[in-house]
Amino acid sequence: MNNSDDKTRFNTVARPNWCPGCGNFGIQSAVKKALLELDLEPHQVVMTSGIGCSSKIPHWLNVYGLHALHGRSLPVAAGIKLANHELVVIAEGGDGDGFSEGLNHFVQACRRNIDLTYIVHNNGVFSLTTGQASATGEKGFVSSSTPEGAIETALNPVALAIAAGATFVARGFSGNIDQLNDLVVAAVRHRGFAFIDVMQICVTYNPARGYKWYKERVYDVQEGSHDPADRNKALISAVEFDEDRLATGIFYQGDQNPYEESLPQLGTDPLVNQDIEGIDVRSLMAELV
Amino acid sequence: MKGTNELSFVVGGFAGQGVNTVGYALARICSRAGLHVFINLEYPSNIKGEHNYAQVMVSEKPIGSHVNSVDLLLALDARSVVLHKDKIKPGGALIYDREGVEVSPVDAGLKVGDIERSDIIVIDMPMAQIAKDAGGSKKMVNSVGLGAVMGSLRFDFELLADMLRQSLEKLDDKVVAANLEGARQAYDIAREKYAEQVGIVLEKCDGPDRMLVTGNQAVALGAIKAGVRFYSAYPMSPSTGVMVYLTKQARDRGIVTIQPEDEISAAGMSIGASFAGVRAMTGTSGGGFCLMSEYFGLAGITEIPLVIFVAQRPGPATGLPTRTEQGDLKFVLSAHQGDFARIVVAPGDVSEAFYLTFDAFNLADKYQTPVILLSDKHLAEATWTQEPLETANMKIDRGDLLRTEELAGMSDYKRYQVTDSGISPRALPGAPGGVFKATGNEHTESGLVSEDADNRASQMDKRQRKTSTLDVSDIGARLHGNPEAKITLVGWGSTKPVILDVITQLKEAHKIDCSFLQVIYMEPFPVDHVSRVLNKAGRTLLIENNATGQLGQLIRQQTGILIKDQILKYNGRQFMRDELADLIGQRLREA
Repeated sequence: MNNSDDKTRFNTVARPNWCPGCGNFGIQSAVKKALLELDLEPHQVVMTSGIGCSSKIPHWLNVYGLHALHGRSLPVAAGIKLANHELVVIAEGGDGDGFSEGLNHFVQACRRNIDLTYIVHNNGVFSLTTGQASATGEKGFVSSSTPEGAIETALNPVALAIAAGATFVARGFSGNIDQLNDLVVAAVRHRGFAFIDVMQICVTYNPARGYKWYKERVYDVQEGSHDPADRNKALISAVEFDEDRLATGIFYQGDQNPYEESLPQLGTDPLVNQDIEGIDVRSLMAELV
Repeated sequence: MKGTNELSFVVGGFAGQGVNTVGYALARICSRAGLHVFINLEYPSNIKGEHNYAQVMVSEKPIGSHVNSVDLLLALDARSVVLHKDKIKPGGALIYDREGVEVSPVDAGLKVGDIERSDIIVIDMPMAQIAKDAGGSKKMVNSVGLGAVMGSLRFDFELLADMLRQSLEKLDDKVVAANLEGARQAYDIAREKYAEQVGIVLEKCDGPDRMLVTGNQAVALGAIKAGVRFYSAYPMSPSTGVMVYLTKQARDRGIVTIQPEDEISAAGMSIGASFAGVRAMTGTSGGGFCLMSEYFGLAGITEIPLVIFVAQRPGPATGLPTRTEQGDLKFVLSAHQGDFARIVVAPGDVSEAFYLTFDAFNLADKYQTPVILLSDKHLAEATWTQEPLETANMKIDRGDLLRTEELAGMSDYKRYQVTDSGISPRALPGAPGGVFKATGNEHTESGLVSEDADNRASQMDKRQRKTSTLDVSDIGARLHGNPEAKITLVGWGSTKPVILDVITQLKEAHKIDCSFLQVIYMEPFPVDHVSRVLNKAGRTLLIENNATGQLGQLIRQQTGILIKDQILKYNGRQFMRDELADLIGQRLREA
């Protein structure tokens, strides 16, 4: 039986099968630490995910998990949260998953503002299908599907999320576990849709952008005079993202009410606890007479 | 056929004129007067300007279908006169406003011209002038028109007055008075000058209170009765009515309805909500189900209960968005890759829509698998009179759902435990001791991804076993009418009411005795029941509202029996009673 003193309570017997050195290990550690810091028990947390290397993560954390379909972690996460808003619901997946196949769900989740945390393991490449450029792969990125270099411009998820109305937008780095831990804690505590774009190392299919490459470029926006309440400046910082300086930290955090708070039918007791025995529909039938 | 309390009425106009409002008002008046009513709506995919019409059938006896011919036509615009006047029966009547008839903006320049029907009664009713004189607006023409209809049928004016007072209660007293005055004037003219010639009389008769209810409303009521707590859907005709009804009730009834970005998300949200433990449902038409079919299979392999309402319309692609067809049976039976247990039920009328929706939730929970409730535009949007449905014996069955205290006593909980029935005890997120993974990958009993060959076979067997214990031999099909009849009609879904009406008509008018085999469960299929009936049947005739006889194909696949004689209609419209009776008569003569 787990309890809050057991620091291993989120560990699983099954072990990750990611490549040695994969950035997913760092993200997994940060999430696990954050769940401990948040004093949560495994049964209080549901993690949903899509399909891809990173989307396997629910199997290696001792929480309720729904490992869904490619690009489709967010719709199920929304349904879970609305059915039982006492649960902590975290959706995870990769950039191919969330920014190609599932992009519409992402944009709409931003503006819907249901109280979820969405963590994207963003390595710019489809890895589980053995290396094809993704929507966040940089222009010119050479992969098996772009042998002459990617033609399209890379998507900027942080700018997109701010523009789409997300109320918590952050960027982390899989090589900075302490910062990422703090970001996940803040994201889970945030009331509303919280998005963390995690720059993740793929040692196998994007080796040019390894730990050293990122380490030389990342900085924390909080170190300067950045005010996360200023949405316009957050958008400017997000758009300034370039290859020489990679900003991390909380870009924007607003205090707009989450979607759930506009639903009086949720009340204080989650939908799932409401009794459905013996519901009387005779008055509704009478209205049709 | 002239007489008392038998009427085929059509009101036509252009979209935006309030044609349906007039149709419903007359239907409501008749229903409250103790008469049976059926309303068929035909309208295009258009908000303003195009032609639409409502047909109201009235009878002292139960009635489920419409006919091709019209006793009384109320034409609110020029197009309606031109289009429908030839359907008026000899001796029938046309009400229109020769001077003031409206012309739809899309029909600019259209002239009614000479009616050229000396065999009908033309009631030239100055509806626009009456409305104007009574101090009303153009909108008031509908009340005036209803007055003319009521007067020509010698129906009690007070019934109309009550209806108008009630439906206009939110408006200013002056407006109500003007409407009543306009309706009264038209009523008096029609009654004094024309009613005798028209010769059809409507009068009150004794009867219980009856609802005027569409299949969509019946589905929504069934879902509420079943305790639906979550409904996610993207708007798509003709399924939208369920979303609209549930949304209207949502706050009072503790239901969350949500309209997400697409049908994919609609299916996903309901799966998530169901995974978390509430009864969840999504609804769409065939085109939306194309998008949902990805998540459909996820619900199958993760064994998450899900009710999916699919209201068919003619396809492929956009097809005929506001018309009817039974063209998606094969699609829903085979949608998604791979094999998994699914349940597909097809209600045939509003009563079955109510009870089968309720049952669908129990089945989804019991078998932990997706259940499709297959309707179509006709059943979804046509309206029938129906006595309030008995609910006393409806029992919620949530299946093998583990309570928190039961879980607490288990040491090694396995969500996908292999059992004799294939059904495994289900834990809900939030319960200590139940932590598990649901995954669209093949998985172990604990829910972890596994590519082990033996495990794969054993999990496939387990999932397939689940619905094999669902015995549909009694409930899966129903033989209506005389079981010894020499002719058996075979069909499913929304053709049930018209087929039952045709059986009555053939018997009464032509002494032809037919039974009707209605298939209700498409998956699992009532093999024994259908085989037994068909093997014993004399002549069999398949009747479907699609181009390829999809139920016929399914029957052959499941029983080996080929029904060669097929009456198929696929022009986007439901069979009419007289039309279907003629088609059956023709086939019988051909033999």
